[in-house]
Amino acid sequence: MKFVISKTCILLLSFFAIECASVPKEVVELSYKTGEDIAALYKSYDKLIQEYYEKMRQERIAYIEDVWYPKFLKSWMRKGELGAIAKGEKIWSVTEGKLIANPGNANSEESFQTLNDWITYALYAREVKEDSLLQSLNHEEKMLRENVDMAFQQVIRANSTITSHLNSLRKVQEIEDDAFKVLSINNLRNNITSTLSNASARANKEFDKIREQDKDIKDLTSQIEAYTKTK
Amino acid sequence: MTNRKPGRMATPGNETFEETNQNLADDEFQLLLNTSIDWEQLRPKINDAVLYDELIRIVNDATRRNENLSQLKEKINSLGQQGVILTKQIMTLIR
Repeated sequence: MKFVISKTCILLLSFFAIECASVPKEVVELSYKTGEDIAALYKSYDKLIQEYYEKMRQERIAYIEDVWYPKFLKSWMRKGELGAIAKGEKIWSVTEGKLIANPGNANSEESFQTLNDWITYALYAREVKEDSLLQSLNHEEKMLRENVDMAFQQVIRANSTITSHLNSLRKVQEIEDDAFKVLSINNLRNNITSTLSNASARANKEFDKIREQDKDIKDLTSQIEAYTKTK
Repeated sequence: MTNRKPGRMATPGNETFEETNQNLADDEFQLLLNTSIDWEQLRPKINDAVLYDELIRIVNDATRRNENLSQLKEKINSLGQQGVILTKQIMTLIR
């Protein structure tokens, strides 16, 4: 029995303590909405990063397509002797590791194979060059996006923790209201304040009385003194 | 990274590749300069994750305490009419 009473008292005291720091539902709502907006900001930030890096990628690709690759192909046609290969005048010699004069039929399979080798390297060069110029950008973009993601997740998690806590305070407040209803003491705090205020007024009244009495005593003392002097 | 192989003409091809790079070295330097960024500068400088974790843990503990308190409502309700009478009596005594 004693245990139940003490527990109930603790509960009631908790209610009073929480009543002092009220959490309007708008606070929870604001915190929740802020969480949503942080997520929206994150999406926007991430998109901005992707678009920025995409723009830089496109500039580098444009350089390859407009400047580097045409220059390479021009050199490769000369050094790789495309004209001679196409005419079947030269073929690739595996044993010598270089282009040699075609000893047989110009349309032989070896001529087609050599032409295929020339094209294979031309395509390979394009991809290698693109990799060399884009790899660092791709890596940087990945690192930045990961960092931004981690930062936002951290802030979102913290905000969500705050929202949950504020919501738990709201829940406790609702219970407090319910409990007050059940106990018919909704205005208890007001009553207490009112009682204290009345007590203070009463005290002031009593104090005024004492002051009046004090004045009477002083008057009487003065009269006695005056009477004594005349004697 | 490309999966494509250079093929049998890799040697003269690589020479041409390097030659092209050398001829366009200045252009390429300028391109890299114009299309580079110090990504570290863009990285959000927020507080340490360890500090966040510690604060979140503390707040979560406090939230759990509040949740437990709200669960007490059910327990009080389960006391029924007698519980309400008892609580009223206690309140009267407190007053």
